[in-house]
Amino acid sequence: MPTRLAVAVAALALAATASAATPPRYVVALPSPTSPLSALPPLQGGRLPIRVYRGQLTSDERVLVGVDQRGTPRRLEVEQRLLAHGLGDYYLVVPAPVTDVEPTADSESRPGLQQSAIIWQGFSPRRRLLGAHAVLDLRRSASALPLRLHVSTRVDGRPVTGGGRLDGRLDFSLVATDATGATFRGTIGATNPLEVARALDQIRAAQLAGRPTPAATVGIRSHVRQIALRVRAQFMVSGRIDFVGPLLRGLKVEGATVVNGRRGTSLRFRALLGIERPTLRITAAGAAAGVAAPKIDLRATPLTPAQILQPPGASSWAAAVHARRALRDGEALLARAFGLLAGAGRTHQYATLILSPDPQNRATASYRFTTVRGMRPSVRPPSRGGSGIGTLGGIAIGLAAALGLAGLAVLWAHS
Amino acid sequence: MRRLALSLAALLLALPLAACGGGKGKSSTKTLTVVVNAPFSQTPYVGDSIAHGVELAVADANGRGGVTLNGVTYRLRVEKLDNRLSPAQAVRNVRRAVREHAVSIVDEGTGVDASWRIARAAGIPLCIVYQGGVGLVDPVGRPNVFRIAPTDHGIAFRFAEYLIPKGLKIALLHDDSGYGIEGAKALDDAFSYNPRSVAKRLTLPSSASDLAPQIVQARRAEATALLVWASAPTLAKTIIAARSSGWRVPIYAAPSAEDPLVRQELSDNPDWLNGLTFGSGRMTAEAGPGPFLNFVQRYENEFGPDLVGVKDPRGRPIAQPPDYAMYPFDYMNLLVQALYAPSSGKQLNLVAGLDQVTVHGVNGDERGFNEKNHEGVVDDDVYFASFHGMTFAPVKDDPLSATLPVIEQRR
Repeated sequence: MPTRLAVAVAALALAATASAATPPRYVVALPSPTSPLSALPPLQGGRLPIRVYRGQLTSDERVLVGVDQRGTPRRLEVEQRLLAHGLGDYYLVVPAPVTDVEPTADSESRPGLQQSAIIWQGFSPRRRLLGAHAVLDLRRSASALPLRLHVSTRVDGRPVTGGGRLDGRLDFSLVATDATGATFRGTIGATNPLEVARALDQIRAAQLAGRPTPAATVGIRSHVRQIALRVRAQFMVSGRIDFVGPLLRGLKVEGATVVNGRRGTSLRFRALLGIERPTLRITAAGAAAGVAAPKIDLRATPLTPAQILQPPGASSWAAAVHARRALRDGEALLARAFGLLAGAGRTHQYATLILSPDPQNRATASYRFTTVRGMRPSVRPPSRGGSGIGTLGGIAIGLAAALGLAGLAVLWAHS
Repeated sequence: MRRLALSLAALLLALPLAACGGGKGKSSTKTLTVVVNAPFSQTPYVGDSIAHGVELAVADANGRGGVTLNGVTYRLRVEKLDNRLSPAQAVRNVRRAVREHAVSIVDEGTGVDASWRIARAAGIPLCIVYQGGVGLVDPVGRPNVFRIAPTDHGIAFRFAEYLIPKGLKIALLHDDSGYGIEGAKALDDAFSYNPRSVAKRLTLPSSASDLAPQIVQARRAEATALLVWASAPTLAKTIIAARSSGWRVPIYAAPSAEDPLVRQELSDNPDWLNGLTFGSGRMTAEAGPGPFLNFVQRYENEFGPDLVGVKDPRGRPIAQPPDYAMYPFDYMNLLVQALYAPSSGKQLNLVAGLDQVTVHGVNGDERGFNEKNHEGVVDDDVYFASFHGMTFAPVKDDPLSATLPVIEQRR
């Protein structure tokens, strides 16, 4: 009862403050939780997108990253499924640094390929699934990936990179770093916290209902000042690291849970990466016999704007302001709102690693990093020059890409 | 491997710009010859439609001053070679096109299984604008072969999609021409998923004067619909055999149904044609009939209407819409764009260039090829139309066809 009374008094006080307040000196607009903060992603293909379709398109992408035993991306593929809702002709040009494309097994049409673009053309009889499995040019695409992995597996200090097995003291580490950092600049000042809270609630409600984001503003009743906020996309990261073969007993593990099974020892992990925790670090150490390079399977799914805008410990931001003294500093809450909304915008960018032809509509994505069997670290980083590849070089690269593509597909299918 | 194929194609097909024309060396204006390889004597409707489409596009390009490349202006020239529906003659024509340094060949499709290699060795793109045979086009195996015409595969699968839900027991009939045999392959593939829909498969001898025996066989198999893939004369004989026996079975047919010859053969009994439904490439897109009607107007201003030689029930003459002229017209516009596509030094690589260009097609839709697909008519462009009173109109019980307007055919 005393708690309820306190909340009620606080609410009255806030309401009185709001109603008695003088008109604001400034009005600032809150950013949309789906506005991009930088040019990438989505990836640019060097040409303009074209969308000739009257209906709506939703997009779902599965990004497949093949990494070597150090965690360096060696291959990048995207399955983009566009679902056309509505009767009519469609002609879509999806720019992307794509080197090859095939239809997905469930696609109801075949994609075309032109230089740096996926082409779709046809007729939708009210609903049509357009699924493209695209191979991307790694040199033009890898920088847009949201995570950087660094993997180290050593036995008695010697790196384990090939298929051989070693005995001795195992030291393993996986570091996954959020690579989505960006800077957002905003204007803040003294304001009514309830005004900020209500704006956040409106935006979140629109996101939950799938409605367009309303334009939200907040009145400032003091001098204003510029702030620069470091924001990051937020991802739910989970996965497993499999040491196939003899069980590893007595391991000292941090950042993951050990699961011993019939085929060997697994380290399972799950964490939220973002502004509060930009790095996931998993380590394992101990005596081991017959250790080979582990298989890593890491999935990262960007949070939705509605998840990011979840109010702390209450059903709404307004209720949270009433309930928590810490949120009653209007200026601090406005800065927090900017950070949340800009972070949501940055996260939303990763819902489309390659462009959706209907960017105003729903888009989702997931990223999967897997070690590819037989993919050893390169001795020398690939040249960035790009020119001068002879025919034989082209043959070798083409064969390697074809074999690697098959390997990744097999690995994915069996996992 | 795909890249490798393209690299080899680029090396093999790189075409010296100077060799493209047949012009005189010292003149600043040269010519680029486009060869039309089509059956002008055997099926003049097909041959003339193709030639007219090419001529119209060439007139447009020359009207704009020709094509200027590296400071040299080229005028386009059309050379018509009759393939007489003979593969051997078609191959001879392609050899001649190579000798004359043709920049491209616009082909009805006869003999392409042999002629494409000759064209490829000379770096000449060859575009099929009539036949839809499944094996004719292969971007990897035959990188210089393109097609703008409905494919047999597309028409057959659209027919399966359209007819199977109707619960019909269909007799699949095809004639023994190359056109019919290719169509039968596509139909077998399309209906292989629903074999219970097929009541009978029959081959129609093109040389037979009466197809009553085949019609009796289909009737005895308790077919409730006929799907006929045959050249226009055989299709007409099939309809006559069915209707003259009093069988009112629904008849469906390949694009040859719109050949004027079918209507001419049935002009004494126009009612027998009513209800004949065929699949073909649509003439209009969501943008409406405007683009195609503009093309019809230009076509008829230049060549006059393609009068079928029959009249509607009120005595008005009927003209065939120039749908098979729009395909070569679109191809020529793509070719001109590809001529301007970036090339290395003074080497033209039209084959690779054609993979990268797109134009607004006569039907109002985008038309183009790409590295994965050398088909300019996608399966979704196949619509169904049925005849009434010697004219045809899109059917209303197919989602795509129902959205299409009727193209006026009375004159």
